[in-house]
Amino acid sequence: MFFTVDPSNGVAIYAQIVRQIKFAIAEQTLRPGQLLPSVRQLATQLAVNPNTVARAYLELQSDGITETLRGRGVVVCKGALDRCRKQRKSIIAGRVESVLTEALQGGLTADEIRGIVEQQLGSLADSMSKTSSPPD
Amino acid sequence: MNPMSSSLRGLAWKETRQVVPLVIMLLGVAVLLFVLWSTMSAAQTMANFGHYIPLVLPALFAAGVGAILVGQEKENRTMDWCSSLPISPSLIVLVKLAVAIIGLLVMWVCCALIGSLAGNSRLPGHEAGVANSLYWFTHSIFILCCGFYTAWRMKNTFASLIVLIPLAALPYLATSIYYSLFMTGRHVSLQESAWLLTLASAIGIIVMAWMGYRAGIRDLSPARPELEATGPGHWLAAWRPAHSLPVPETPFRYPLSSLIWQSIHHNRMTLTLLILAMLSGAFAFGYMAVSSQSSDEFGMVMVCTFVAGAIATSWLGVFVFHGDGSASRLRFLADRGVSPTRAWIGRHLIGLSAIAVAMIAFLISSFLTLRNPADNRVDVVPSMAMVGAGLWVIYAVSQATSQWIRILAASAFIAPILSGVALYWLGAAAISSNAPFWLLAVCCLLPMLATWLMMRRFMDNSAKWPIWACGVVTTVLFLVLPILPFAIDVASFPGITPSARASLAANSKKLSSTGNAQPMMRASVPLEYLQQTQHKTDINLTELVASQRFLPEDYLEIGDIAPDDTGVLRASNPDNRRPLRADRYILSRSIEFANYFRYLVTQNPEDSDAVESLGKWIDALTEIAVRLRRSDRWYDQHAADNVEIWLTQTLSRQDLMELRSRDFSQRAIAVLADQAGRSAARRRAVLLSWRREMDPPPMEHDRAKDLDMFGGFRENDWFLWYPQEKVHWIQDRLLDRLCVAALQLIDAAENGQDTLPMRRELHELMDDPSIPFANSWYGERLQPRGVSYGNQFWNSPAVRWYRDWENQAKELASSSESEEP
Amino acid sequence: MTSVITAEQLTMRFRGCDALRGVDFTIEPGSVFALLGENGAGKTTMIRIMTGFQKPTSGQCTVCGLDPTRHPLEVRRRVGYVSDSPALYDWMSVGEIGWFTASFFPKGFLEYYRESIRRYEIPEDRKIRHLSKGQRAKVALSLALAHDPELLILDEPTSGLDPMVRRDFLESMIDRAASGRTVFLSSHQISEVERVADTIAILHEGKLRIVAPLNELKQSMTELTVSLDDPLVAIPTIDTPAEVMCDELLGRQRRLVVRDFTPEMHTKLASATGVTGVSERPLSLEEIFIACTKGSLSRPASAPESADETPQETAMEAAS
Repeated sequence: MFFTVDPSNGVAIYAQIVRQIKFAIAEQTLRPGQLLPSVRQLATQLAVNPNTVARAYLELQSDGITETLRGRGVVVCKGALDRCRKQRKSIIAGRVESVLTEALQGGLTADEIRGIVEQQLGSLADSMSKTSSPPD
Repeated sequence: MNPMSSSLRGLAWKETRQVVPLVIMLLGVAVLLFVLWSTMSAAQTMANFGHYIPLVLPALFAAGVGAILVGQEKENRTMDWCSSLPISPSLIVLVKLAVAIIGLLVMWVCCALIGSLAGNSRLPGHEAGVANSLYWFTHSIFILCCGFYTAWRMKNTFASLIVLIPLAALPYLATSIYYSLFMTGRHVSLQESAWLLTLASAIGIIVMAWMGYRAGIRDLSPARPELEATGPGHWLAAWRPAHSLPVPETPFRYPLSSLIWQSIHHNRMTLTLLILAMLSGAFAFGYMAVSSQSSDEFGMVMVCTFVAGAIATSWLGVFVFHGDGSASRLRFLADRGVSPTRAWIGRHLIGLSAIAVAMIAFLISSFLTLRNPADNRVDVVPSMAMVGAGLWVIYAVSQATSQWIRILAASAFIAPILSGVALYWLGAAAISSNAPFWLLAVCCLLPMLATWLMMRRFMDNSAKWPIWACGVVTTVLFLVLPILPFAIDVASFPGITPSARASLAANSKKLSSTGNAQPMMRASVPLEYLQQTQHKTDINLTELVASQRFLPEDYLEIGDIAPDDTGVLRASNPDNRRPLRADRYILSRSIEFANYFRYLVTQNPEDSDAVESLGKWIDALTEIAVRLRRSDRWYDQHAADNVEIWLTQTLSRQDLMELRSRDFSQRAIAVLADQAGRSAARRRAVLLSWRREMDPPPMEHDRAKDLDMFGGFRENDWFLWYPQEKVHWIQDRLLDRLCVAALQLIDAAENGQDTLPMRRELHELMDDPSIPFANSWYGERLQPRGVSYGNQFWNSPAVRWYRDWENQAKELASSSESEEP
Repeated sequence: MTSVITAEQLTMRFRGCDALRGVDFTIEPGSVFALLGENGAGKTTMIRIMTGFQKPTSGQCTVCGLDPTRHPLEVRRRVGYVSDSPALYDWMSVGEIGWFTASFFPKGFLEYYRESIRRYEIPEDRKIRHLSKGQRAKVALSLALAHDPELLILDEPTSGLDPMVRRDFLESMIDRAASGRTVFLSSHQISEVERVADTIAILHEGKLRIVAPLNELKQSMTELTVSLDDPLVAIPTIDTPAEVMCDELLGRQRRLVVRDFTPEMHTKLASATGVTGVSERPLSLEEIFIACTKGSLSRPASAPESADETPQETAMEAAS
């Protein structure tokens, strides 16, 4: 499973890792019960500080997404899927919020924004339907 | 495993690997010197330089090992890396010192080996015995410790080498101070001074080793922060030279000007010092070469200045391709497309102009010295061109060395030696091998040519092999070319065919020598004895003179021959007739005495005493002639000829006819008539002399006298018109031809053939080419009438063989036979 | 836990310049500490003091609990040091230099070294002078790590090396950190430092401007772009606890880099007269570094003079 981190995009590296793992679980690339790479392995693969990876794993664990099994490592929890989907929604909501804030601050009216959103949704939904099916 | 021993092992291995290139290079130089020295045959060279050559190895090693082990590591910064490992500094310092000392011991062993190979294993000053060898040994260790100390203390390797030189002279200084303080007016034996110097060196070793150790530890410890005192506010700062001049507005018009500017400003101080040293050396040489006083203190100072100037010239050459001229720095020019030739010229211009100025300095100095009428003059004053040529050779060889040897320390040491050798070699070739001048000039140009050809490769810092190969080729050419015409000349000199040689050898083997020890004839003269005891005034001189009888038994002691009852000298044992060695002086005295009695007899034939005395002398001379003929030496045959000539002439005299019937005359005539015996004796002498020359028997104490004699003749007086060096190489061939011609002469005379062609051959061999045959000893005209005592005559072999006197001698025999009833 | 490195008021004065002017920091074990600074800021001096090559003019320093000037050998046994372009004996081969170095360390050095060399795929019998720059750096790194030191000190180890080699270095640093060892890194490759460092220190003109964990540092730094009606408008000063690192004016916009900027200050600024907009942006480590050391993100180094005059005065000059 491939992750990437961009140290200079303003988001903390551990947060990027957390987000990517959550998205991966939400997309079912990572299934419940699957073993995540160890801290050391992931740190070496991503070329980041192991403390950062450890912090990401800690957050995942406190969110209940993963759990540590003695002797085996870190595995994805059973109920992680729903939680991740919910969190993905909230993450996306956050990003939409920042876009909307920027638009409003830039001087667009609410109606203009709504129009843009409809237009974009329309064109994107068409292309998306051809490529992927919404998960269940 | 004991960690101490493992770290020791690692360090020792590293230091040894770093020392090995120096060892190899020095061995190479020593071998080169040894080869050169052994091909130089003249005895003077052996005496002068032979016993310095084995010293080269340990001395150079001791001086250079500090620079290699410490200075180079500092320069490459590997010392920094090494000290970042957990090694205690004292271990590093001590291991380096230990490896260096072991290396020095190895060098001494090699030196002893080379010395014994050369057969001359004695060090300079060997008269002082053990103390001398001990001194050289301790002094080399002292130099090693000094080298380490300067290398640890100083940042610049080259500077540390220069500072080493005065340090190394400290024991001498200490000893001379000691002498002048405590021992004025006392004679100091060589041994004493050797012991003193050894002591001074030993003390020096302890002091220097300790200081070097401290300096090493300090260098490897954490660097101390610099004191406030040296900051920009310090009073000394006001004296420091200002920053460099501002860059001028426009660049130089000619690229060469820029290169010259770079050569000068790269290291102004060093350049100034070297050029000053060179100029003062040239100036001193101008004084030295023109006036012959060199023994006083001023003269010594002049000599030291001169030597310093020569070394400075060599180092000027070394700096051509080191420092800013090294391959890595020249890359700057190579990267910008500067042509190798231009870069090469740019590096050389400073040195060449310095040489030109030095020549002028020499000229001025010699001119000033010549104007002073008080000094003694030497016969030959070197010209400015000659001094220039000498400086050029030093410079050229040094710059070539600096391109070939990339380590500055090694280059700085080897270059002066190689230039010295080159100068000597060219000089020797010019003087003793008569090398033509144009050839020497070509040789002088060779090193410059070599570096120019290799300049591109050097600048590109590509593979080192072509440069090394070029170096080897240039060295070989430099050594071979000057002597090439000479070698060709020598090689083509005619000798005898190998078969002739073989037959000579075979014939000579058939003969047996009659033994080496041949007693000399001694003439004792009471008058001479008187001279030694002159204080005894009670001897009456007149009586003594009056009592002289001038008879053989009074004057001659011929080994085992003693006068018998009748006063005739006879051998005590007639069967064991030992041969005699000729002594010209004794012979001439004897013949003079015989002449005296002959004169008496001719004046008054009735004087029976005179007749008897004459008879005794004739007998003595006959015996001498017989004994001389038995000798192996050709010279003795020559002496016998002279004796027989006298006898022949005496007995052929008309006014002595009556004496012919006397027994002494008959004995003489019997000997004189024996031509066959004469020829056999001559043949024998020629062959044995040849054999002895070619295959000398082991040395006995009286052989020492025969070293430069061929069959008793002084070889050194022969062949003087050939160049000295050439004679040494062709002498064997000349002697072969001489012997063959002599033997042919004997054969021809025996067979009654004409001896003229052989005599012409002998004349060609033995006489100066400017003398025509008619005027030579071997011709007809210049035969002396009687016995001759001339130097030149006595040194010419076979001159009087088979001349008229031999026919006369035979006639004597036949006429006396016919007279006998 | 005892700190691996401590420094207390380290001062180093050379002839003509002050390299360090009272430097303090502490490094905890198991972290990656990155020291950033311009060329000539004093980084190498500090490392030389830490490794016992230089005695400081004043101040204390301990490495692994020992004073490097008094016990340099002990320190070097516990520390692995890779300097910038290390001068190895280039006549030795790769294997030989390992064997040579192994004789000074306890048993186990040579195997570890060989393993490391094998992993880097460097032939053991090649002489060091024939190795490429990257291979040489890898050899130096292997030599420094083969005795498993508690502390690894790297002084610009990857300058001039290709990205593959830099990646190798990064991985070994991460490996050391993951095993609980400490890494002290001085580097110019800020992007790499950003990925791998725990704590950042920025050394500027002999003083440590910033010593902070990387996350905190990045979170605390903000770049404000204030759009103004008029270049000459004065904006309210930004006080403590925030700290303005640098400040510049171009046209109608003013850009500030501020540390510990709070949202209240944002609203206060946005509502000031003459301010048409305020936008914030998080900064990359490189930009933080430049802001700390130069005082300006875009202007060339005429910074010392402009530190005295306010941007208004500069603008008035530009306008006249």
